[in-house]
Amino acid sequence: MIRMRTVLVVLLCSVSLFSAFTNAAESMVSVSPPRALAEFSLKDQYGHDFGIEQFKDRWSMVFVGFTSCPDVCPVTLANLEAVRAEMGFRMRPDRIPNIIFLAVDPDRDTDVLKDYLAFFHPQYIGITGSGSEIDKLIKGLDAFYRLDKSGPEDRNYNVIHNATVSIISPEATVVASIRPPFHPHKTGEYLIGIINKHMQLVD
Amino acid sequence: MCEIMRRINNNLGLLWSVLVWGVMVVMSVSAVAESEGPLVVHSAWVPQAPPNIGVMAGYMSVVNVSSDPIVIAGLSSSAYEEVQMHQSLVEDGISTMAEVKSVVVGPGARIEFSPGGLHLMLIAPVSTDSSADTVPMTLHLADGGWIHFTLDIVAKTARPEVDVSDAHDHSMHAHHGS
Repeated sequence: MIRMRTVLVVLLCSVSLFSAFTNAAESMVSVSPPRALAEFSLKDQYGHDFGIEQFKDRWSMVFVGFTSCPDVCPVTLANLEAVRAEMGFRMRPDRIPNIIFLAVDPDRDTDVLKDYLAFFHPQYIGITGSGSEIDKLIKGLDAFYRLDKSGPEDRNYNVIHNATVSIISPEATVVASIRPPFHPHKTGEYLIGIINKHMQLVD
Repeated sequence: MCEIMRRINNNLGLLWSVLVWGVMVVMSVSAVAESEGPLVVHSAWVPQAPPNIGVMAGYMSVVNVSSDPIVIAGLSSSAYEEVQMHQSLVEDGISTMAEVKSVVVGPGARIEFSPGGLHLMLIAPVSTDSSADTVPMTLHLADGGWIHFTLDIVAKTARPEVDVSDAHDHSMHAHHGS
């Protein structure tokens, strides 16, 4: 009887440990081997060209969003900034990823992107462009979005999009993806591990 | 006689306690409540708007202090062309948002309109004046009643902290529109 109870306890512990591991694994996934991005041609919020070259020589976190998103997008930007701040305590500044907001609703985003991002943080980078060029990067990120328009006259439409944030290496490869909730400490720890491991392999 | 006086004194003490507590409760409710009646709205706020943005999200807490369910049928504001209730959801890694036509607040229940969850969508500001400190709002009840209150406009640096672990709570009793 005691033996059965012990087996049951061990089984229950194993199940809970496994589910904890699975949850962690689901929200933070490394891409191995890193996936190279294909060429694309977008503009940043200042009108400068932004292509695959602009991902090189620095780490990036790419978040798919749109400027008419008043609830989730500002929350995500604030949470990613909290992750960056946490990483700043324990990592070389040049390895802390930039936050890149991929604005997938160019009709409503292009004219306001600069002011929108400056309102949140002067260092945020926003990129957008034609639908076909946005789609090239979206495909490279293995991401998704859809403009949920009821018709051509609809101006208050929603945009359904990935909540996933892609982590891009200085070689312009996707090395990981992270999903909300973004806990500053846990997510920061994970990214520090991923980035340091990647840099050791590259060096 | 002494016994009678002592009892009166005790009763006066009790009466005094009730009065003091009553005044304190009324004061504390009026400190947080921006409305009277069975549904209390408090902690209502909206972030300061980024420039040229036509849609904002507002947040508040509503508490039903009555013993009957109350149905929120909608909201309106003189500062926006339209106000809707929306629910943000992240399911299977996809972020979506859906309009919620009505919200049922159960007896004694509190419902939070908070970042990443149920929230107010303030659509198309009627003025570009950015000097206002508050946004006037009217909450419409299904029984025909209404509540006037204001959303405080909160500067970006002074926003309440967002608890990401509580975001996307699916547990509120909301009726989704078709």
